[in-house]
Amino acid sequence: MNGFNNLKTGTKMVLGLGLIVALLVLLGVMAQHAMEEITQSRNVAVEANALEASLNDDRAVVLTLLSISDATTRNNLFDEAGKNGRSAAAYLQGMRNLTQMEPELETMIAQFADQYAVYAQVRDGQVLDLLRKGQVEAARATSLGEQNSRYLAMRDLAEKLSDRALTLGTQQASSARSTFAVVGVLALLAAIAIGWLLTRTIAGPLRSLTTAAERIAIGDLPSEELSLGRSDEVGLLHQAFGRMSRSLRQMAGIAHSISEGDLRVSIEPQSEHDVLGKAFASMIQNLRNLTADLHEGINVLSSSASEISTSTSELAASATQTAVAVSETTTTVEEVRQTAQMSSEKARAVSDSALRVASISEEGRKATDDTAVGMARIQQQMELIAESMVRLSEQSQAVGQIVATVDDLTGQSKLLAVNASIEAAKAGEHGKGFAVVAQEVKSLAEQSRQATAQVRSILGDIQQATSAAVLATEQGSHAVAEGVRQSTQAGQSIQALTGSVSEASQAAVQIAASSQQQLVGVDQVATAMESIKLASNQNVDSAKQMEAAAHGIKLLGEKLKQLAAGYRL
Amino acid sequence: MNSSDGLDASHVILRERARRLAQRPSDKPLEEQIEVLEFTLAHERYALLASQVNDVQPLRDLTPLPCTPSFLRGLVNLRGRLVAVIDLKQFFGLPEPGITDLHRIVLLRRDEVEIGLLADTVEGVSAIGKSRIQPAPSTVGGVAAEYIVGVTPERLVILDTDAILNDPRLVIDEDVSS
Repeated sequence: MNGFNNLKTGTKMVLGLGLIVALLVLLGVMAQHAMEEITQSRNVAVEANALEASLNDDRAVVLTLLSISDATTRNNLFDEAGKNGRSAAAYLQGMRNLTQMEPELETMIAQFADQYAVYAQVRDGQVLDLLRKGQVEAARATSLGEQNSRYLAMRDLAEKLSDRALTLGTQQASSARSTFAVVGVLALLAAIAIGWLLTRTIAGPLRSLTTAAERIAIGDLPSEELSLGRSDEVGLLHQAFGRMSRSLRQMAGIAHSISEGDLRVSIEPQSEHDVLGKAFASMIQNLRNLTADLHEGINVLSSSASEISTSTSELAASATQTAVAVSETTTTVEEVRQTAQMSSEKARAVSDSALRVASISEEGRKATDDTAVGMARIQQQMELIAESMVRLSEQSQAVGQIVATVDDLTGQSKLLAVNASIEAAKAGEHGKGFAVVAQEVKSLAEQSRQATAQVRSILGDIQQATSAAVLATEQGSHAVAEGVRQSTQAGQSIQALTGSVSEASQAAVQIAASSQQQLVGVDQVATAMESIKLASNQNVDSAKQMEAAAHGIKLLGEKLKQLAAGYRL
Repeated sequence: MNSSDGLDASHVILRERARRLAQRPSDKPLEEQIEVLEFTLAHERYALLASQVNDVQPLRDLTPLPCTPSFLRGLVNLRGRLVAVIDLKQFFGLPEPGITDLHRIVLLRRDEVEIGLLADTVEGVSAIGKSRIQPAPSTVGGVAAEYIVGVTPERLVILDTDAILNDPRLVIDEDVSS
């Protein structure tokens, strides 16, 4: 048993399964043999039946030949008799070939063969020969006599042979069934035994290993030895498990000592592929470094915690100040909100008035257009006046010429009067009356001269006035042109003003919208400031909590210092 | 203005007018009078005896004559006759205001000699009582006494036609020396 256990698992499997297969092959060979025997018996029975039928046929042919005389039919029957004889011989030979194994049947077949040989000799040698010679009566006598008894004996023998062969086949079949049952049961038992053996030698140790692995999986390292004292795969597996368990236990021991703060332990890797061992070695090294760093860190932490504590105290104070400032800002934002509301209303009012101004400037533009038309009319009138003044000036010029002529005539009249006076003086006393007339003429001429002088002075006044009027008309025309220009300018200005006012109106509308948005924004700011106020109050609380927490950190630092002192490097 | 004062003033005027109308005309026979043609030269009043004046014509188309004394202004064509125009202001050495179309020519004729005297204005013919003519002082307004008949109290200088016409200066015979 120990030797079996030391075999390789593959060999064990091959051995067990090979035994089962050999049993099955034996079973198959036995079945084949039995089947062959049964088939031979069956074939003998069949051949015997066929031989009997051939005998019957042959007998029938001979009897028919005895009874009929037709030559053609007789020739045919002769051929058929020859054929029957040959087929019977063939059947007999076939039976002999088949029954080489069964001695009883062999003797019966030999008996049958002897008898048939006699029968065939009689039939061919005497009966058929006689029939060919036409000696029917001799043939009939030969045939019905001894030949008939031979025929009957042969038929009985053939029947017996057939029955015997069938009986023999049936016996062989029943014996084969019982043999199969015995061998099959044996093969089943052998298979069960082999299965149980393989299960016991492989599955049992594996189960115990599984249990051990389960325990290792939940962290329970078995302290007992797992060796099975076997050299097959299962035994090697047990040994490997044992080594793994030992290694793990060793690691656990090291870990335990590390957990107790003893970092002085050292570990050698089991092999160059020992991942865990290397990891433990580097872990220990890292832990040493880490603990050294931790010492420094804790020192830094301790001092930092003190500083944090101080800072949080200051922070708490400043948070309180911030809360006060935020409260003041909230009040200011509320005031700003009211101001923004007021400016929003003002902007709306400005927008309305800008719209009114736009309509007024539109009216102003129409008025300047009317003014321009009126100024054009005035300009036409001024031109008419200027023409009239020019005509007046020309006419007064003509009047001046007429006056000059009259003046000249006056001078001549006066001269004539003087000459008349001179003539009267020359006439002496007779010229007295003439002298008076001449005096009168001179007086008239003088009056005429004075009137002319008056006309001339009036005409001069008229000319001066006309010149002044012309000048004034000219100036008026200039003034009107200037007026037209200025009214055009005023129209353009008002046009531009209309545009500007329109833009101003749009701007005012936008300003109104913007100030509305501003108001909304300031509202949001106010809300935000409320939130900030709440947040800063929370900040104050938080700063106080932080102060307490920083104190806690300070204490924690002290404690960490003590704890770190527990690690031995 | 006081109404009583206005009444008094018109009353005084009316009384004065009544007094003058009530005067009786003088019984003396009318004084012998001479008729003179009055004209002005440089704003001074001068006169010639009307009987010695031919007529008065306006100054037209005066043609200056070269190489003549300055008082001979030139020649004019009067009804086909050539008449020498004498400027008395040059002749007498009076201030010279220049000549215009308004100047008149007083024509004098003596023994086929006809000359024209240039006058600033011609006032006309008037009658002056001989008693009012007084002998002239040595010179009146720059004119030598030899050309003056007499002077009235109204400073009317009556010129002597004959003296002027007979003045030797009027006989002009000048050569232009080459």
